[in-house]
Amino acid sequence: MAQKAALDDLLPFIRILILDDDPDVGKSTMIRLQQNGYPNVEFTQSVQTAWDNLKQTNILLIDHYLIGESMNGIEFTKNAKNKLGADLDVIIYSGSVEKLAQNALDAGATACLEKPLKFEYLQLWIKETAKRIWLEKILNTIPDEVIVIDPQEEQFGLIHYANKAKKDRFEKKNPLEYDYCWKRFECQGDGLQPCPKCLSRNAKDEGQILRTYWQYSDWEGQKGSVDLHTAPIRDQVGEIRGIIEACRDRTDREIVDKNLQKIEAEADWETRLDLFIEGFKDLRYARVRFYQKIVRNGTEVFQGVKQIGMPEDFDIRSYSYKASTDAATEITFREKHPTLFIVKPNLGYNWEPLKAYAHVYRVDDQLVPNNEVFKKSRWVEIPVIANGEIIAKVSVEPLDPLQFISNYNLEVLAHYADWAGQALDNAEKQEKLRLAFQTNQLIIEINQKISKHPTHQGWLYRALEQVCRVLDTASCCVFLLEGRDRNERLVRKSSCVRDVNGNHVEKKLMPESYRKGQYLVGSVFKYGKNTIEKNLVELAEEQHNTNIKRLNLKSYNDFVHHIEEPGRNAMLAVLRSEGRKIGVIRVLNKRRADIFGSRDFTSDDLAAFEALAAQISLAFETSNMIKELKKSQKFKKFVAEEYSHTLKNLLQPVVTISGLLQLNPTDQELWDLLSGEISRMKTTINTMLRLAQEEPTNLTLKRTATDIRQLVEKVIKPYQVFAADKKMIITVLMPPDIPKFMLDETLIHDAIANLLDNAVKYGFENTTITVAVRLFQEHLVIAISDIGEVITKNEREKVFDKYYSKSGYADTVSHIGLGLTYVKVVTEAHNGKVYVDTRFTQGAKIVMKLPIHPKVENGI
Amino acid sequence: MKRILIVDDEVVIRIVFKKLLDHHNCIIDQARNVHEALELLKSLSYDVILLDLQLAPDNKDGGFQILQKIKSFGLNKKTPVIIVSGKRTEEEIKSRTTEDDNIAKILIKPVENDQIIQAVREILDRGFIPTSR
Repeated sequence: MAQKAALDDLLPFIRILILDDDPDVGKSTMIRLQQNGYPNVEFTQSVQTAWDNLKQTNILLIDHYLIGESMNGIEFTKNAKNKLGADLDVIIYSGSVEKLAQNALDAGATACLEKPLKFEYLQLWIKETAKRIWLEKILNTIPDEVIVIDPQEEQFGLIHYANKAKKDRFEKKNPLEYDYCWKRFECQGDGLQPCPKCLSRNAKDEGQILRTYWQYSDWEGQKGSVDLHTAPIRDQVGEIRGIIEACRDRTDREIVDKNLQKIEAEADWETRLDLFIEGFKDLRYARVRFYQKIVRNGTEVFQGVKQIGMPEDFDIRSYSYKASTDAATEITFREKHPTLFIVKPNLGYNWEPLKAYAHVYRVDDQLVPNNEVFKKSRWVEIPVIANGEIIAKVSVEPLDPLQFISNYNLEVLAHYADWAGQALDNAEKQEKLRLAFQTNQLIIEINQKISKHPTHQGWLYRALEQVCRVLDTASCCVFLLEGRDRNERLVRKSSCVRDVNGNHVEKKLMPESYRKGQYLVGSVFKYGKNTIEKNLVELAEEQHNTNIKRLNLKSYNDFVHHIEEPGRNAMLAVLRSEGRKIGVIRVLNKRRADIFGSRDFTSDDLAAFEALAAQISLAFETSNMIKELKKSQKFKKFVAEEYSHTLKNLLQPVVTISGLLQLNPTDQELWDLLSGEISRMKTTINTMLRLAQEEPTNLTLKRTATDIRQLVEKVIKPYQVFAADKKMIITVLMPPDIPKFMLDETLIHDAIANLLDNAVKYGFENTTITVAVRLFQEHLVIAISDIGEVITKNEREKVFDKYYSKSGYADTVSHIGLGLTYVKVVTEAHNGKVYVDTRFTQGAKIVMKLPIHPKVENGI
Repeated sequence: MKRILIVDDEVVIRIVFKKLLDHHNCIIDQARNVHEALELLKSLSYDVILLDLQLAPDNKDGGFQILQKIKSFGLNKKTPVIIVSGKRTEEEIKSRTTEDDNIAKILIKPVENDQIIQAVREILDRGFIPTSR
């Protein structure tokens, strides 16, 4: 195999031709280039001479205005590019390129520069061209190892597309509207047609063309294309999914096909790989790329898309990368995050080097750069997406105000942005994992600040607040600090206690002095489903049970990899509340050994620590109890008030009526009212008694053969007067021959009464309340509807909840909100169902559906 | 003839209060919500108002609203009010009313007939004496 050609070695062999009508400009440029390491530079004033020499030229430097010649620079470029395609790079220059640049690029020029030529720029372009030539040379000599080509290289030959896209974009005038195929390398069109954006096709079958990159005319004028072939190769131990990018002409294609057959016929993996590489080395543009993974003897030796590992200390908030102003723009994350942009991150590559500023913005940062470039819309912005959200934006603006961001540049950029997103995804996952380990994000480090300022307690209190937050309570927290004073005496047990409001209620003395560097890390872990937390609890219990007094628990990794060795610098204790584990408290020994020598935890320490943990548990328990108690007291007060209010209201008419009846015992209206009120009172009291307990007791049904007609009439009677007051009519719809049912008469009575009560209360004036009873599919269906406020779909489940009312649960209700709950309980006791009929849109319609009890007696 | 207004959302209470006071040679009007009460208070002058505080299921403070608005009606600015409420204590009501509200008496349900009659008679016979606060 041939040696790789080094780029710098190649530069002297680059052949440059300068075509300019002005001999001063042409010659001076030639001399300058020659002095700078490009001996093969020629200058001509004649278009004809230039044309004849084109084949021996790598780079053509051409002035646009060629006075006295048959064509101008752009026309010449067009013709030259038609003849030589990508084998020739043309750089057009002119006195003013503002209007020229786009046409020049469209004509196929690599760049358009303004006079006076900036020599540095010129050199940059020449170097980039050299890179391409260099690459070709390398490709001609397939190296002895697999060439892994980074995604940029896949763009090899994309210049034509790039130019087209440039034009499109230019016409659109908005780079952000750029029509980009986001599926990128996975794109296969829609299965039948090529993708309209990237022209990729479905090529699942081996050996098919995956994508046509470049239509071209050969040196000899022969037409051909650069295609991508798929060629998966597999065997028992591993998988290579190779892509052969190949084929300048038919001969090449045949070689590919032949080799593929040969490879497929070979069983041995190693041989196959060799054949694979060997077989294509003669192809001019062939190269092999492995998308997925190569596994040898069970070990993954390569993955096409490199795995991105995140450093443990990666701080997601401070990511940012810079663009260097070197020849090729190197984008790297800052030292914080070296792996984010890995492979060859030069933004501009062979065909269209782009010297640019690149920035990463956090989405909430000010995005608009305050410069002229932005105003010219030569600025693109690519989102970085992690976890499905745009977390940052990458923006690029070319340094050269005349340069445009090409399709290709954009693609590369987008690719890296995507890559960055993936990396950040990973980072975030790791970060989350790490935080999960710290269980709800708490590590309190009493750092040197405190050591230096023992009286500075604000920091500590903030930490304590965090402890409280972690345990979902603003309650007390006891915190342990310890240190040694100058006489090496242990100074310990500074505890702080906070009450339920987070107020500092008791403050014991902070240790009088801390030796520098003597500090502990106290952490509180909430006990949850997370296995790590569970493990911690188990560890703590183990510590307690087996008298392994101290654990060597330094870091996340230590923990994850299970510490087997009993250690001396961590203590764990389980926090319990009402017998349940609620968390773990951990103290790590972070004394700075390098300064004063480390002191291990002793058994005294552990005893003190466990006592402290018990104290903390107690504090939490108390605080929780107080909270619960307060809540329950408040609720009880509310319920008691409402109950008494309701009963008083019910009692009032009875008291008044009985007084009146003493004076006038023959007043029938009074008697009727009295019986109605007593009936209502009974219903209410029944409802309350049944539901006043926390959990409704199981109702024991006393089923009797019930005449539903009589029952309904009985229920309605006391409500007639209320209905009449609101000018409502209560209608009963019932089949005439309805039989008797085995029901608990009292309960059903109360249930219907509750429904009726609601209907009268919430129905509108001058409307009808309908009580419909019917038999339907072995069910007795009782439906009560009113015209009034509608029960919405959202409410239809809630209305049956205890203490629910339209204005909210247990809020400003005038009634207690037990009625419907009671209906539900009663119906369910009868094995029936109750529901809101939402098809009824004029008001509320509640339907009780009771299965007919099997014990229905014959004929009734 | 004296004129009495009964404001209560419970129809039965209004009916029986009316029956109770019918024997006392008065004209008795009824209102079951804030709106009805204010309509009457705007147009007619009353000698006594029997007022419940909670009017309608969703209006816990309807009575207080009436007390507020009544002051702007010249007709019943000085009309003594007897509050008949299911609230727990007198104090609770007192804490939410002022002397301007002309509260003559606060009765907590259930109220005996004699108490109501006495309260009304006192006002009708001897004129209004505000309750000591």
